[in-house]
Amino acid sequence: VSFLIPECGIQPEVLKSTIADVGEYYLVRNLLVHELVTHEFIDAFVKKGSCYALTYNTRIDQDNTAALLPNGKLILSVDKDTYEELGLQGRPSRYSGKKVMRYIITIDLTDSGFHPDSKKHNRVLWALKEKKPLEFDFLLAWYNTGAEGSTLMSYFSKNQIRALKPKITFSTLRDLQCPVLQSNELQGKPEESCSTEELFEWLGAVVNQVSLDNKSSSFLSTYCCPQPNTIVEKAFLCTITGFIIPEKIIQLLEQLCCYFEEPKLAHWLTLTVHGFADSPVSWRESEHGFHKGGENFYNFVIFRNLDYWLQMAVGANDDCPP
Amino acid sequence: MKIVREACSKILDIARYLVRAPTVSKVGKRVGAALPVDVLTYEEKTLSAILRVISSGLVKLWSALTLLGFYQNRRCAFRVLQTSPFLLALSGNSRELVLD
Repeated sequence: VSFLIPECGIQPEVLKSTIADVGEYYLVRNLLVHELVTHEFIDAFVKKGSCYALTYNTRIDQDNTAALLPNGKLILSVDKDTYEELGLQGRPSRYSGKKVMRYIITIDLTDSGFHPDSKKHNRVLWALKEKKPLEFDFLLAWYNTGAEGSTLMSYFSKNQIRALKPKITFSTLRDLQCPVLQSNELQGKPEESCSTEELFEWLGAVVNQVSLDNKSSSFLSTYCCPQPNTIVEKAFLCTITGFIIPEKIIQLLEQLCCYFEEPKLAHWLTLTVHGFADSPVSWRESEHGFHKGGENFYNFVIFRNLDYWLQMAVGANDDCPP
Repeated sequence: MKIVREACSKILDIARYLVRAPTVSKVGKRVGAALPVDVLTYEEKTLSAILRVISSGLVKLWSALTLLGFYQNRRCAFRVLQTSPFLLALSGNSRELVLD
């Protein structure tokens, strides 16, 4: 997650508490998937708030991957051999070509038919515990809606669980060429404002520290800042890296909107959120694949008058975002 | 657009070489096909760079980089870390997330 605020040199006051409280996530090593399917876990975490889990260090195009969504669905993206050994019902992956080599199994943990002692539950537990035990390193996070009870740390204390804080970096960019934007001109207006695509590319250049000058003596790069642009004295760029839950991103977005409550020199700011390249799902549970890249990210451009642009991007093996 | 890791030699010289040199299509055969490539960034510390090329030239550039084993009589190897049509996507690569 990163955000860029032009005409700002230091961390804004409205954002200090949100950034400090960005929450923590957990890394659990060698966790068997059937432990996420037990009713103790479902009752303690899945039903009380939003629980997120994603396998760590697995590649969606090569390895088996698992993810737990906040709506209680457990998604398993497995190769053909694992699928046949597991014996659970799934569907072929949309991106596996003529010869199906990958299958997606979706298990709704909050389904009324998934109560303890139900056939469904027993079958799933048997498949994941005895038939083909699947074990991964998991990234876990839980948004507690205030209910009392155990924490992830105490629940998985017998596994190798570690609490981690997202890494936060700040930088102040000096004399930055910023495109001029008008919120109602998406295509840009010649001599007046830049288009959404130009901003999108410019933002990528800034975040990747690409030089925005196109000097005639330099033949290395022909990229230059889109016109019209202004030079801002300073811009604040903050990057937060980790397993960050949507609730925290929403808080960050709200506080970024609050930034404009007081008069500011900046006309707009941006917030970019990247999804994991190896997640089995992207927007609205549609399958996510990795072709030449696993990009799935979105970018908010928030204007002073609280108009906004939302740009969403996916890779080749993905559905169009909603 | 890609991020490329380089084992030796300055990318500036490599870029000149890539831009002007013909791409190698098959082992032993050279096909004259210069491709405009932008070197958007180069970081000496990590020996990595971001290159920009037209999408129809991606395969040619990728194969040229893969097959480039020597430069100025020094062995070198290029490894493509990430490719994307969006420059913004290159700022976050979850496959590089190391938690230890």
